[in-house]
Amino acid sequence: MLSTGDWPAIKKGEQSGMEALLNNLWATIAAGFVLTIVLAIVIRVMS
Amino acid sequence: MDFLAQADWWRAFFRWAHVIAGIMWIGHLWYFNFTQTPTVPKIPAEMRPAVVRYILPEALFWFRWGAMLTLIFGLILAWLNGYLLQAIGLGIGGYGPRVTSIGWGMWLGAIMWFNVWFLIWPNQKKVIGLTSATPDEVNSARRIAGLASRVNTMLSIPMLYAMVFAPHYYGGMQ
Repeated sequence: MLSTGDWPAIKKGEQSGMEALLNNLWATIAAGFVLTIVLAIVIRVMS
Repeated sequence: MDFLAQADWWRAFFRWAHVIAGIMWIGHLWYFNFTQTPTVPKIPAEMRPAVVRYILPEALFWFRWGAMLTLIFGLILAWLNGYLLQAIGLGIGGYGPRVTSIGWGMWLGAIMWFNVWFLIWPNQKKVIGLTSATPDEVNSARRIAGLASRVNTMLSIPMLYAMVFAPHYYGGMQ
């Protein structure tokens, strides 16, 4: 089972840039759309 | 009852079941992230136990079992459609864009399923008191569960593109 000990930044109580993004709902949604564009290109290239 | 012997009927049945379970899962995921998480800090402290003790355990039940059934029905559907292994291999080897697309959707969905069962649920058990934990451990558990839930919200957008938009765009339901 994964625990907090596996996540060094969390163990130290630090907040990474990624965590700051994920703590913002709209940034999370925007990142999801960016990933979708990347995935669309990947699927296109692979096919 | 002849329809029970038809592969087409079972394919349609498991597609329908997969979508229903998927809505159960992603519906709760979006409820947590779009509604509950942003709203709880605004609730007076004395009223918050109502959310944690009553609403959260019930929502987590439908959430995690929705995830489990979505995965099971999805794997059965891919097997009935004859592309389970090809999709897991992302369609590499010339199986076409629909299989590549479904494969990416399957991998993203599998990562999300893992997050539900091995990060979100074990940590939420500490938050709702099913697993004993110190206050520090509860705070840490809430943080990890919240981050994993946000990761899943982010991944749900490209996952649904790969599962729904792309395979229909590339030739529709043939």
